[in-house]
Amino acid sequence: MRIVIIGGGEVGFHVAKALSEENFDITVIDISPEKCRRASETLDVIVVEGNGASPKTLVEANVSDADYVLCLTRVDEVNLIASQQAHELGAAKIIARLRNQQYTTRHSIIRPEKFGVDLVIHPERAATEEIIRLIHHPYAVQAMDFESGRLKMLGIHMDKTCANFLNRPLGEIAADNHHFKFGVIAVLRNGETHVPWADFKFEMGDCVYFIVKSEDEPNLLRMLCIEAREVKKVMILGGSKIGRSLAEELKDTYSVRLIEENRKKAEFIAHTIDDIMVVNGDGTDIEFLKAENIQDVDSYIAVSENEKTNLIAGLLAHHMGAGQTITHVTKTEYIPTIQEIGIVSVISKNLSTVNSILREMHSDISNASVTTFEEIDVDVIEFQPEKGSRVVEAPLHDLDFPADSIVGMINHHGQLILARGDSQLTVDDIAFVFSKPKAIPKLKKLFSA
Amino acid sequence: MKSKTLLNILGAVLAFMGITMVVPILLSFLYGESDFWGFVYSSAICISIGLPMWYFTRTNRSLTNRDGFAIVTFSWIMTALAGSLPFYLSGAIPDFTNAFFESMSGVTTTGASILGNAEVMPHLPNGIESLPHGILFWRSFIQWIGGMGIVVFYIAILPLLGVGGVQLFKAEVPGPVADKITPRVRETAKYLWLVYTGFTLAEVIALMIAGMPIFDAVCHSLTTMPTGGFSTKNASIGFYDNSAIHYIITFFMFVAGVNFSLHFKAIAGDVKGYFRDKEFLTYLSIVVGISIIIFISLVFQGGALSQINVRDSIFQTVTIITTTGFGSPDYELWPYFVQIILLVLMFVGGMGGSTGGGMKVIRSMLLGKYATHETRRMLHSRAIIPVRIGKHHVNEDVVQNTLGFFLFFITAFVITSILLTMLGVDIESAIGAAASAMGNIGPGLAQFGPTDNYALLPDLGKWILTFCMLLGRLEIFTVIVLFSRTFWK
Repeated sequence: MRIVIIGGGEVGFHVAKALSEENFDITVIDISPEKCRRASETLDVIVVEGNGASPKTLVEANVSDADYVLCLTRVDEVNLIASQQAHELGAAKIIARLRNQQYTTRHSIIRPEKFGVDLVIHPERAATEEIIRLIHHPYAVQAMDFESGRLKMLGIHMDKTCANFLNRPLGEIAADNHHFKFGVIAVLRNGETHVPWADFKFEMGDCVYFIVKSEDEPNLLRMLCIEAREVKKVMILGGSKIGRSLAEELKDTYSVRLIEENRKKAEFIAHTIDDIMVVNGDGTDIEFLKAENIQDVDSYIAVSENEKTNLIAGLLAHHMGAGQTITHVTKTEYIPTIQEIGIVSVISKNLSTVNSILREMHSDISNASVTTFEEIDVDVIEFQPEKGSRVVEAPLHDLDFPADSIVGMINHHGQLILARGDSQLTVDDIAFVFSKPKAIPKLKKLFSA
Repeated sequence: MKSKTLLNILGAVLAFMGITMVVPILLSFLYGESDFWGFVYSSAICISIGLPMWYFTRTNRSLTNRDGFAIVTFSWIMTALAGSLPFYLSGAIPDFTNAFFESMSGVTTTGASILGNAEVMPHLPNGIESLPHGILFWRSFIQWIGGMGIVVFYIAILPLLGVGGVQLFKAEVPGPVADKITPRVRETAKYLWLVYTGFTLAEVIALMIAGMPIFDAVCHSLTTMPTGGFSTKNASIGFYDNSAIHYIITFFMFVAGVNFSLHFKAIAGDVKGYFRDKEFLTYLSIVVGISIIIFISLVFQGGALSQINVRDSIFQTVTIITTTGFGSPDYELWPYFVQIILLVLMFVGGMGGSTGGGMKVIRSMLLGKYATHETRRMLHSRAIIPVRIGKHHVNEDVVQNTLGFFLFFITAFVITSILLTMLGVDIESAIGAAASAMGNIGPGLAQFGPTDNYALLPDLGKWILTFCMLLGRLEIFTVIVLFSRTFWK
């Protein structure tokens, strides 16, 4: 399958990287020689240097016989023009990244469909949604919804409050506790991802990823001795696009304060968004934070344009007693390191964009939808067993499941069931399989006839 | 440096070489010749060491450029070692230095041989022609494997090199820029090998139609396409008193000296692509021009205006510029002027992305462009003058890299010549041998001319030349970086 990616920046590069590792034929177009070099030196792709909106470049990249064209430059206008030309040239499917969300509102004068765009991805929106999920789960470093919110994946840091959980094999904990109604799908330890089986022992400092039904979430928290705090006060650092849309979304349920360093911008935000308090000040200034009673803030969200400011501000706020800190970074490579420094949740709009693009593409190409994460080396794949596949022939513990993968949940006629060793899959089920990427081909074989 | 990955790939290389030895084993069994056990032992050794080495070091890998250099260099050395085993164990070449020289000369497609001298090797009274068929085939086959690139070959056939193949590809493919013809390096490698195999088959058929026996046709085809130059005859192509054979081989040598991406595009339908490519046009005009010059000087020296002289001029030009090194006419009997032209051609070599050796036509073009560029810059110090090939602007890095390459190439050539003279080799022979080994040609001048061989070179000299062949084939940088102190840190 041929994919042309226009724009080799942070988003384009990571999409290209993920897709090239899955054996797609990829062409990357970028105007900057440095980005072209980075792509051609590290990825198995063809690189075309040139303006993605110019017909010559598009023809050179053979856009006409591409199965997918992904327009992922930073500039909306370039993406739209490139989409339209790709559409005219005969590209089969076009996905465009648009930062300005007005194009897809009802009031929009031109619509992306007019430009041949089949699917629009809003990077800020994806990140905003992720932050809101984290605010709903302040004890988690990562939260992800499946099955329209009925199923949740939560990443939780193990510290000393969970003493009854540490240094015991997972199988023993599960046997002792009849409330054990959740799956442990991955453990991040010292930057390495483990897929835990029954003999796995948790250690202090592990970041454990659970899959749990929404109604069982209180049980999980009780078991981990975590007090479910309720978030009331939210503080947002930075009046960036994400900051503003977060304020819009959160202002009705929480008390929201937004810190913006630029006086003019702060005034502008105060005029356009009501019901929130806009404070003009420096989010890395300790005296200022003290004056704003940082220790009483439940959620501190650093989403300014400058990622270094976000980092410092996030660490400061955590140190000074803010309940939960969420930090936004642009460079996705930083994420694992930052998580090691302190217990803060890190998100990246670029990564969210990469994930939404990959998820859309995978669901489009095959019936299995895949979600990837930057922090842990585990993907989530939703499989529906084909008729006559090996996986429906026996209970799970009798199958030679790849060691680096685990079935988390089973959706049986709309009912969510936690997968156990004796669970038996049928062709009507959808299985949520958590797996290291290299085991995916094996899984696909298991699930197909 | 990831030594586990290195061992893993070396294991695979070794095991694969062992497996390919099945063909000569069958041949020697069919002919009932003495080399049978030699091959069986070699094959057993390669597989029994290679397989466990590969199996117990399997890891997930992502390779950096740095790993690429080491893996490629050591893979070639490993292949040469494996290739030398049958020569040594079958008793065909009882001395290990000689066996390794012959093998390295094979895989690097140099084609310099130590065989053919009945006084030095009394067990081969009739030179190359008294070798058993299995050994003859093996000599040709290792050249064929080396031609398109050993590592490119593994990328194409073994899935284990899929990820990280880009780094390996770049470290091995000749020419200043390795261009991929498809997005994925594995596909590119596959297509390159398909085109290569296709041309080889075509040549076998053409040679058989022209009247060459099948065994010789196969062996010569296996050494033409990689621009190798090993022959099954003492007199090389000169053995055949048949002009058709000469022309067919000339044609295929010329084809092998062309960038294989151009062949690929032509097969995909873009035949005119050849003539849009500036490097190809330069290559073609050098071949035509030099052939005419040689022909005229042959006539002036007293030769006839005969078809044989036309044939010989073209054949000799192509065999040297593509760095094949097949012999037919004895160019040492030709005017000195022609000999020095041939020596210069050894440096030019084939096109980038071809199987030919030397410095490559594209680099010579870049050097010329750079010279004019510098002159103009002297006159207009503030002008911005890009270096262009055709309509394409050449990146500053590529120009720098080419200059560096040229510097290293010449330095290595000079040092080798000096070392050879220290061993008592005369000046002409030393210069010829150094140029020939660096450019992967085969025959040199004087003592090591087209009718002689390298048997009389002292052992130390053979090792030096062996190293030069590897340097030349991997275009210097890939090998030389391993000697940098910072590489291993």
